This record gives sequence, structure tokens and C-alpha cells, in this order.
Amino acid sequence: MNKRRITFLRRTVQILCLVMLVYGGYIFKVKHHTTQQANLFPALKAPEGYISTTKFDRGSILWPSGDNPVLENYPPGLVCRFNPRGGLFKACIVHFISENLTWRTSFKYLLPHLTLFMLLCFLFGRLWCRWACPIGTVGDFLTMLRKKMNIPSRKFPAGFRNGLRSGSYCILGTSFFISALIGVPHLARFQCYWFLPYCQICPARLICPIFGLIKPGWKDFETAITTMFTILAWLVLGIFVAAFYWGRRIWCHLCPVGLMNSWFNRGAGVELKKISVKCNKCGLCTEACPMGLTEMFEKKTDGVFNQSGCIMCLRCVEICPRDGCLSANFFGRKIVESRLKK
Amino acid sequence: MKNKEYLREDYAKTLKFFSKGKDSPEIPGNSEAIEKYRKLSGLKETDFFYDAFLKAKSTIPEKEKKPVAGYFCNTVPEELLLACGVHPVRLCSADSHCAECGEEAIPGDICPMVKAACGDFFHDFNRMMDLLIIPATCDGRVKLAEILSPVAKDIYFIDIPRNTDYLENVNIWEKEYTKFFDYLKSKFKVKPARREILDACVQTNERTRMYRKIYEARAKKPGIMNAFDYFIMANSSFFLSPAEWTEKASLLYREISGREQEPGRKKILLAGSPVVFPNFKILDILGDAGCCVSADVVCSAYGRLYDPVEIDEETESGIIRALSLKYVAPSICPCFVGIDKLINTVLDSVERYGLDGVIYYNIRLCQVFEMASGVLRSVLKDRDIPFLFLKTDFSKEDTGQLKTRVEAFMEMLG
Repeated sequence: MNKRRITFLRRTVQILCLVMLVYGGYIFKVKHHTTQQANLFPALKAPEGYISTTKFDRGSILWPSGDNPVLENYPPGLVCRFNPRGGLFKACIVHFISENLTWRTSFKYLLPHLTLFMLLCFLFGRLWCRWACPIGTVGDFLTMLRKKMNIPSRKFPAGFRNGLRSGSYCILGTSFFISALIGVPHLARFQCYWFLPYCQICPARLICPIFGLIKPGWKDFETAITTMFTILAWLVLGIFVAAFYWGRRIWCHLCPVGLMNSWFNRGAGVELKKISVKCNKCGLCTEACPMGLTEMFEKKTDGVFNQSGCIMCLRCVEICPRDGCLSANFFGRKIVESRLKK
Repeated sequence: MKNKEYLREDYAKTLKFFSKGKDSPEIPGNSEAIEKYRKLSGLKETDFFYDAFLKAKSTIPEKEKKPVAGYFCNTVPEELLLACGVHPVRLCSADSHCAECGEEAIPGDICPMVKAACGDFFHDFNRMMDLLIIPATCDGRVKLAEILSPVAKDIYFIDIPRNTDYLENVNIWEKEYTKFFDYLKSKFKVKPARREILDACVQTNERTRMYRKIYEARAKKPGIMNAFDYFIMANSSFFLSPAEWTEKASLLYREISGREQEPGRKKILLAGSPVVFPNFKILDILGDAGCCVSADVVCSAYGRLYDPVEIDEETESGIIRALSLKYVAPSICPCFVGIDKLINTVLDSVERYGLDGVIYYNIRLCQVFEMASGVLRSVLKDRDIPFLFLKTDFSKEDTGQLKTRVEAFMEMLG
């Protein structure tokens, strides 16, 4: 009906990112094998004696980083290690930190990778979540399916969203705690089953292998612990599907990777601004917000809108019918501002 | 129950008795007024709108060949009516003759708009209407629904929670509108598809776009179109179908965009009560005093046409929510909670178009408008924007006095 330029651009970028992140390993395979210098920083390897258990065979779901990725770096967004051929990048930041907590890697080796992550977050904040995250793109297909079926979306109160965020902290904390615990030499025998605890329950574990038509770890019921993780993963996948089907991006409040990105959301390069005198309080920004944030509507003063929940989809800027009321800025320079659709 | 029915019938008879002799298709005095304003207009394309008013509403049923539904106030979603194949007509009237007729049913110190609406209903056309829709926005409307219920063929009442600062209310608005839509479907025995509502939204959005062009052209170049033409054009959207209105307004836009602005005119923002034909008393006074009403924040023009329907999700629920966010949430009427919308709009317009002052027009006996004026006055005083509050009704008695006040205000502007 109306020209939705930002949505069109975003969908294009999302699909490009999905293809690149999932099939990048195939596309750039030749280049990778010829030039090992493709990496921005030296890849971190597991120290001797830590990953020696039989569980980590090639092809196993716990094979670190799958096959060879093109770049052994960790960008923001859910760039999954379960991608076929490793995808374009190695894994997400939660994987990176969990892995290195277990390996007890020295901080100076982590620093370049963390700096890259923080720099990208500093530039774009949580924009990665909506524009690049491949799992989010998959979820958006579910949302599109719901719209086609004429089913209204569910709205969630602020308390529920805050609850999800607390849940996200719990998941992240538990995951890092377990990772650090099994890094203690005395407990190394637990590594074969408890390695990367979040990755084992992440919905991407079950979704990403589908893209590569490879044997996924869907039915990993060998021992009690793997059975527990597999069942948990299926449960989480169920929540993921339900969340994206009915709640648009409500899942992103629970995602630990998004949580880590959101720490850099305030003061990020991309920011939304509101000129409240131009606002007529129609509430369309809240109606259109996939994260269900109401702060843009409630804001009664001029200035930057930075919420840790905001994923910079710019949908509010696009839908706002008041000329110049909302705008997206990149380091103070206006990129796009709201206006009446032609 | 029987007793109640008897009373209703009796009441209907009484009303008919009162209105006896006033059943004329034409409201006296209107054609003279139209000819007077037509002469003042220097534009060719406004003729269509004046003619539309001259023929008034009596020709609508034959012309549209559709069921006709009348409604009061700005919060009835026209798109739903259009989707059901019904022609919507906004009945808000400001006719002093109708107000006199209405006095018999509604005596006392009541808002003259409500009296006029009641009196207007005694005319033949209005009773021919298939459906009367009344939203519960102000107290006058609520009682009007009950007074008119014996006279109208069918009446539907939309309950609208008035706190627009609290977004949980969108759910209630959605529920009310959905109920209303279901009622329309069962009454007119239609089953409109989602596509049809979207088409209706496209029509009204086209209208909004055209209106905004004209609004901005007028605000930026004062004098290219006088206030009478502008309000006649805006008010004719009460009963013209959106497509027809847009077509004629685009011709008008082409004509005015070629004109040059008149230099040296003081630009005024008109805020407050609705200005509805034929009550152009305030425009007459302002015109005589030589000020140019180049922008307005009243519900019969700006409030009705400025905001589009923006649909986020094209599900039926999503469309209806979007409608409630067009009609209720941004409403500038002081009956709703959220005066900051009115203040924001006034401040923004003054800043954006470089206006010289604000005139707040208040129809006597509307308390909420009067209450809002105090807040607006203090806010504008802080920002050194000249503000004039005018309180009047439909009668011509205080014209001289108001004119003196406006002239003094204009002198103050320099």
C-alpha cells in the first residue's frame, strides 16, 4: 500500500546476510584454502589436553566451529557455529566467551576479538539483531506467515519484557559459570558433555544445520546429559517458534547474544531521535515496534532515544506520519527521518 | 418495558409536533451565505465545493446509490463504512436556524453545536438515513444519542475510552471498532474482504495527502486561498466521498500553487472549537480585521484530514488498530486526556510556518475547550507568542465587540 523503503532495504540486507553467513563458507571456500591470512586476527585454538575427549569428533554436534569458517572472528548477532562449513564467521560472541572460559585462554589473546566485537557494537548497537542475525531472519519468516494467515500479533506488557531480560541474564550467567567451572583441570572430564552449554540449547543448534542439509544433532540421546540438552533444545525451539509466530521480536528480549549487544546500545553510533513538539501521540511507533517498546511514545522531551531493547529496525521512523518527528542518526548525522508516505 | 415503549412513542410524537413546519429540504439562509462567500473567492475550482454545499445533503442518496450512514464527531472510522459499501456523512452542524429548532428538544444552556445537530435532524434528509452513529466523546453527544433515538431509523453507539495517553486503551478501541464493524456487516448484509478495507484506507490516505499539500501551500504562502474557501473545501469532505473530494481538491491545488502570496499579511493560527459551515462568524470577523488564517488546529479541518491511516500489519486486527490510532489517539479535542497534543501542534505550526499569533476560538458553553485555553495561554505566554481568546456563540449580537478585540490584537502584532 504505502512505499516501505526501509522495510524493503532491511529485508534485502537480511536475506543477503542470511545467505552470506550461512553459505559464506561455500562461496569463499577456495579463497580460504589458498590464503590463510583471510583472518583479521589469529584464531584461538584449544590448548593441549583440554579437548581430547572422544566426543569431539569431526561431524559431531560439538565439533568446535564445525568445518572451516572463512573468518575466525566473532561479529555481533547470532552467527552460529552450527552453520554448514562454519559459515562466513566462526561463531557468536557467547560461544567465543564460553569456549575461552573453558580453555582458560589468556586475556591478551582474547583482546583483539573482543575489541572487534565492541567496535562493531559501538558503531551500530543492536542494529545487528534486526538487520543481520540469521536466526532472526528465520523468525521473521514465521511472522510473515502469521500475517498472511490474518492472525493478530500478541502484545506483551512491560513487566513481561523485563522478565525476559532477567531470564536472559540468568541463561548467560549460568552458561558462563558452567563454562568456567569445567575449565578447572580437576573437572576436565565433564568437558565432553558440558562444553558450550548455551550453544547446546540454542534454537540455532536445530535450525542452522537444516541450511546445509547435513546431519544435525536433532536426536542426540546417547547419554543422560546429551538427552537433557537435546530435550532442552527442542523446548527452546518451541518457545522460539511460538515467540516469533505470535510475538514478533519478543524472543530478542530473551536472546543472550542480543543481551550482550545491548550493553553497547546506549551511546552507539546509530541512534534514534525524537522531536517531541512534532509528535501527535498517535502511538504508531509503539504499535509498529517489533520489540513492543513503549518508551518512544511515552517520551515527552526532545533528544536521543536509547533503550537497551531497541534493535534499530527503524520501523518507527518509517511508519511515523509526522514530518521530521523521528529520525535515525549516525554519529549525529541524519540518515533518515519520518515523513508522510507518498 | 411496555411503559418504556409507550414513553418512547409519545416522545417521538412530541418531537415531530415541535418540528412541524420545519421540514424543508433547504435550510433558509444557506444559499445566500454560499453566494456571498463565492463572490469573495478568486478561485475557479472552488465552485464545485460551493455547489456541493448548495445542493446540500438532500441529493446524496440519489447520487451515491448506496445506503447512507450519518455520524457525529471525528472518531467514527469512515473506512469501515466505505468498506461495507455505505456512504458516510458527518452530520456536525453549526446552523443557527437548526439550533433554534433544537432548542425545543434540548432547552437550556447546552452547547449550540449539539442543539444544531438535534435541530438539523428534524430535516427530512437526516431521518431518511439508514443508520446514525454516535461516539461517546463528549457529554453532549452522549445525551444527543438518547434524544434522537426515537426519531432515527437506527442508531449505533460507539463507546470510546478517552485517555489517549495510556496505550493499553488501543485494545479497547480496537474491540469497540471491531464490534462496530461486525454490526455494520450484519446490518447491511455484506462481508467485506480485507482488501476492501485497505482500498478504503487508500482512498482516505489519498485525501489526507492532498489535504496536506493544500494545508502547507496555504501556510507557506499566505493569501493564496482565503479561509472561507478553505473551510468550505474541508467541510465538504463531511459528505463527499473521499475519491471525489481528492479529485476536485487536486484541481484546486493546481490552481492555488500557481498563485503568488500576498505580502504584508499577518499570519494567524486558528485553534479551538470546530468551524463548520454556515457558522463562519469567526472567519468573517477575522477577515474584516485583515488577518489571514493561514493554518488551523480545529477538528472540522485539520483534525479530520491531517493524519493518515498507517497500517503496520495488514491483518484485520492490525487495520482496525491502525484506524483507532488515526481517529482516537491523535485527537486534539480537549474531551480527550492529553492536552500536550494540542500544545505540541500549535507550537510546531507556529514555528514551522512562522506564524504571528494564535487565536483560540471557543463556542460558548463548551467547558473543556475553555479549560484547555488556559493551559495553552500560559504555554504560549512563556514563549512570547501572542494569544487571543474569543468566546462566542452563533448569534450576531457580539460581532462588533469581537471585531474591536481582534483589531486591537492585530495592532499589537504590528
